[in-house]
Amino acid sequence: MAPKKSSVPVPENWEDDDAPEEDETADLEAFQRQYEDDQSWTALQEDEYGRLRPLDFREEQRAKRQRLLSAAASASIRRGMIRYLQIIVDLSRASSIGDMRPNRLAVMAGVLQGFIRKFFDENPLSHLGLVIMRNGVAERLTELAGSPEAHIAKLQGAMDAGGDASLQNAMNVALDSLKSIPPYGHREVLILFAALSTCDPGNVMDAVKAAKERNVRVSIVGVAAEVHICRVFTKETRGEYGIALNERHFEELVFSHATPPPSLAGDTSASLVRMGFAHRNPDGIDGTAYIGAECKLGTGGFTCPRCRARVVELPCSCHICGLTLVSSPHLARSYHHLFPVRAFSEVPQAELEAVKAGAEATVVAKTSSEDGGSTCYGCLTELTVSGEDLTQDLGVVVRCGECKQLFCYDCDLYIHETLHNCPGCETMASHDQAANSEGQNGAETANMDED
Amino acid sequence: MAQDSDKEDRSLLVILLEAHQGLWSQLNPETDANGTEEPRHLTLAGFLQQVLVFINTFLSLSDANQVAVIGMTSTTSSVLYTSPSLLSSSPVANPVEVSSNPSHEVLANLTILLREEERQTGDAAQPAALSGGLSRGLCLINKAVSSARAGGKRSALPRVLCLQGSPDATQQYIAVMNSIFAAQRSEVVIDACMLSGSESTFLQQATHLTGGIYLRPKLRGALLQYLLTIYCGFTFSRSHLELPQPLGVDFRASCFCHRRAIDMGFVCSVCLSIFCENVPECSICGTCFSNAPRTPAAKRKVGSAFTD
Ligand SMILES: [Zn+2]
Ligand SMILES: [Zn+2]
Ligand SMILES: [Zn+2]
Ligand SMILES: [Zn+2]
Ligand SMILES: [Zn+2]
Repeated sequence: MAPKKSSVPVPENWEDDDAPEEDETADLEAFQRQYEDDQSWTALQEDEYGRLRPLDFREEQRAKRQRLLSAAASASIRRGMIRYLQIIVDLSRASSIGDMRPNRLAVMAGVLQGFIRKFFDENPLSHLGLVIMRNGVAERLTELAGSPEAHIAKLQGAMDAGGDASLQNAMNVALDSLKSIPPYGHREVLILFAALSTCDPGNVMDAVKAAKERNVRVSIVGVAAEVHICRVFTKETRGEYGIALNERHFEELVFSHATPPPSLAGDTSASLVRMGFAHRNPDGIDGTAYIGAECKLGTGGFTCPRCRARVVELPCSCHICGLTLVSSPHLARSYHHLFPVRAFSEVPQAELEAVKAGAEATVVAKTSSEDGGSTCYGCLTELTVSGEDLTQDLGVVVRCGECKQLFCYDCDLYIHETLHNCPGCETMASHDQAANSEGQNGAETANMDED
Repeated sequence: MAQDSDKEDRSLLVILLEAHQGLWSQLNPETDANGTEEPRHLTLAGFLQQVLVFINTFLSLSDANQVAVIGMTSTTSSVLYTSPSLLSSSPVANPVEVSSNPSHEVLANLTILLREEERQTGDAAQPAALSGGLSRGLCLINKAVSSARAGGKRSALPRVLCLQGSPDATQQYIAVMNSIFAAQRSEVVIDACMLSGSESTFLQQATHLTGGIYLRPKLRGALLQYLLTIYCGFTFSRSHLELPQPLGVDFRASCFCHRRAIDMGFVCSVCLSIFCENVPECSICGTCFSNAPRTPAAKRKVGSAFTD
């Protein structure tokens, strides 16, 4: 665990001002972090399983919850659900610098792969394309398309860096491919920028103007330092600009773009889109037919409800009649943005003790230990510390404002990040209906639930 | 090699029991004095007997198998039983705990649950909260998997078995779909056994998306046979078995305005709500589709959209 020297070779004429080429590298090297002073292991402690965790893990948990809270608060904003996103990756020589480990390029590639999968997981009806900047030119790596694996395969084959970055060239390529998308689609560009300069054939401000005119939202994640032109780009097009402090922060910044952005007035013309919900055909002899534009004889597939043509996979547009074909789970995947789980509030330790004392009093009358107040409603973990054994401490305990159930920190994260249902409220939902049909008071039944 | 497969043959099975009293009169409309003899009939007692035999068989297959049973009624849900090794906060605890008897615990806790239900409401015809049961089950699984991973061990393979009797509750659509996607992301297999006479689109989609098995047994009285032959074995062994094949999956959506099942419809490009006819304004997010200036987003009518 001894701090290693950076793996980037220091040029021999490190302080030689004669060679302009070397000078530029030296400039970039100046931004390299000094890991020698970074004694990160001192801020760690071991928990009961031998896991390492920071000393003030409660504070860290609170910070993470804070981000969740703000995310939940912005959930009421309307979002652009049908997105057309061009990702521009900076593969100039600045991306081979090793201030992120092993180098910026490897970190960017890894994060980007994760992002592409997450993007399609959250936006199944959206499209994505890749553009790379290298040697002063921009190259379209993949066309706007829907399949994550195709993008990732292409990306893995293109990972070598060199030359300068040109924002103008890259934006021209990106804007060109965003020209022909339907009017209701949200046009977005996400740039992963490693360089500290842009080397353009003309005025880069023209690209800013063009992006603004076409309602393209440009967001940038920088891995080096803030660059003025990036700030201008994002400000003019109402995008977001973030500078990564370290590898983890970089991943966080990039992944935040997987969530549909707020939809601004005038961004797109909202419209009702005609869609067909294709029926899945059974596999086997009964389901055999000519499938897809290539007319391959096969089994399974989906049938277009308008023209009865068969397509291979969803979502797509029918190759015969052009109808957009989806399945209802594609749409349902994004409904949690519309109806998010409210943020839970933290329960102070003192109150927990009181709850526990109350639970112990009633536990004699009730043989089942669950619903007994001091266990997590989701996973039944005991929430209060027994004695002074601090290693058993589970951290922050939270309570749902609607159903008043207690949850542990792990369940809180799981509920808000993955599940998007409050288990307590879901049980209450039908509960309330039953109560209402009885003409009962909802609050009354909630109390009964607790005791 | 043999050791490796031994390690992998561990399952964590979460069973969702829909067990409210109204269900049984729904399932057996013509009450028979000797109803248990009739293979198409299933009473609460018969149902519990068969499920408990199934649970005990499953547990006896491997001492590393873990079970959690969640009971769902129309008003509440409750964890009826969990394997002791599942709940112990420290992973080094002795997994061979012989003192617990699943049958006794399930029955005792179910009695409490049913009494609770009786006390709270007389309307027992309400369908049970499938979404609530699924959500709790997934929280349990999430905790078990993540604490096993943190302890440096591979967790048992998680799966969920839904034993549902009442028809789908359309107002739970979004919550159920959210649970299904969460299960899909955490690679939890959802199996389903539908006890009522009609198919369940929710459970069909759940099993299709998570790679589980959907079954609606013809002879409900012989439930145990179905459970043992289809749902008892380890997930990996399924590829070697001749199991019931799905007859296509109905992916039709239901419109938010009338709850009609449609195969072609209009989708709001802002919030992806589904409508069966061309509407001038989205009732969910308030977007106007005409060229008229936008009104501020109308307050969301979640209830009205999903309850009727
Ligand atoms: Zn067609
Ligand atoms: Zn929990
Ligand atoms: Zn709640
Ligand atoms: Zn309708
Ligand atoms: Zn809408």
